[in-house]
Amino acid sequence: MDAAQVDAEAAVGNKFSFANLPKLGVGIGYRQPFRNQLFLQRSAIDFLELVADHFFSNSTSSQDELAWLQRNFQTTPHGLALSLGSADGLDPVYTKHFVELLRSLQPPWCSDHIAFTRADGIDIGHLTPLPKTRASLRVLRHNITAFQDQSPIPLILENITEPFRYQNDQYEDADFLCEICEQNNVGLLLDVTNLFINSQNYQFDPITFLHRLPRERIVQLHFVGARYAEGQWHDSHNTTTQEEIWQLLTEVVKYGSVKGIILERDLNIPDLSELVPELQRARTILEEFG
Amino acid sequence: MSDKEIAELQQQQANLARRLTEASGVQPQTDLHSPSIDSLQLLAHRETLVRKRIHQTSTLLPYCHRALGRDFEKYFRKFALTHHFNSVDAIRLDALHFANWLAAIVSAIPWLPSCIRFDRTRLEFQHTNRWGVKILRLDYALQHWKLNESQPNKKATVWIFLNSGSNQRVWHWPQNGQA
Repeated sequence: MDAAQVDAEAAVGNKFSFANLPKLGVGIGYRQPFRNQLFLQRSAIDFLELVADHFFSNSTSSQDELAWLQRNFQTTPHGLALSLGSADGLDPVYTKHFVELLRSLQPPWCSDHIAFTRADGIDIGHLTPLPKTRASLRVLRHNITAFQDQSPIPLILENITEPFRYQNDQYEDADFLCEICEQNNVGLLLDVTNLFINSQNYQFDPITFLHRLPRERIVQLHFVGARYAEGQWHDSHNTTTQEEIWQLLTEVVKYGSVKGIILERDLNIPDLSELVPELQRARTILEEFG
Repeated sequence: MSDKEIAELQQQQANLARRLTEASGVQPQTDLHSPSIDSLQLLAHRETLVRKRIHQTSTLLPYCHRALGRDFEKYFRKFALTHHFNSVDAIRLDALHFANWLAAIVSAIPWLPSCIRFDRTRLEFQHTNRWGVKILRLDYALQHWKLNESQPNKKATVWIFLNSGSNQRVWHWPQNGQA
């Protein structure tokens, strides 16, 4: 990608009003162990967030599962590897799969991360933070525009935990997110746990951070418990949500225009009934303050 | 904003991707040096990535994991020195590659080949056509029976009939098919 190409894509089209998106309520990140229990806890789940990558296969079982989920639940796809921050540009194969899934699901919105997962032909296999620089903003703008050219579904982007930081950052955390929203037609999927972890590990006030974000762009939230080990907080997705995270989630719901909240449990997955109290608490917060 | 800044970002990302996925066993003092990132943080992150792969693979290859116990991690780390994943279907392929690698490397555990075959078949379910699924389901059921229900050191005969269609011959195993 060269600078001229990036500049040519600088103009952002008609701004989409994220305030008009439907309110979906509270749900879980769908994982296969939950499949057999979904109907037992049907009333606790307003919508499911599907990991898009899990449904790229054309196999009968994958397509059957997708059709079954689509028939029974409101779903939103969540990508793991669009790699919107990759200076090499989008991977056409991954993007094609993602866009085909969006055509099939027709969700109210879709999401991915503010990160890169791929560079120079290497798949890192994990969300890797971007330096908060003008160059990163340009690359994001190029890739987001390229993606949106292929799909009209509103895109929201998630903040990630930062296992390391760059010394050449040119923006503060909140300013970087604001610039991404300002320069692109995207909403925010604010991962409250990631915000909590970063604020603890890098010692900043998450509420001050929150109040600098454009409130109308905060569309969806993620939350789950975090793990503390060796003097650091880790995004482990394996435990019950801590009280500090609940407090932060409440503040975010009060401040933003949240349309949906997803509990993301990936490891140490319990019986779904054990997660219901957390879903109910999130629903109460959304109903009371949202 | 110049070409140079984007080229530098591209270079930075390429270096970082290599440093996070290249062979392990390096020292923070001698490797992973980057003027813009703390090398200890980077090392810790790389360790996180390997652990993540070990966890994902152990979930996808549960019988191999059970058969190898703590050695599963040891073997995976050896495997990870030369293999990193690189496709849309990365996690599943990573597990399949590891299963194939294991089959070629480990011969000391007599029941490991069955575990590998069982786990691999389960994974291959996900990418096959309808007839392939039937065959794989059969193989899966056989391996499941072998691992869970058959008596060790006791002979057993299992008859399996496959009806491949109204105009084609019926195969039965073990006589006509392959073990």
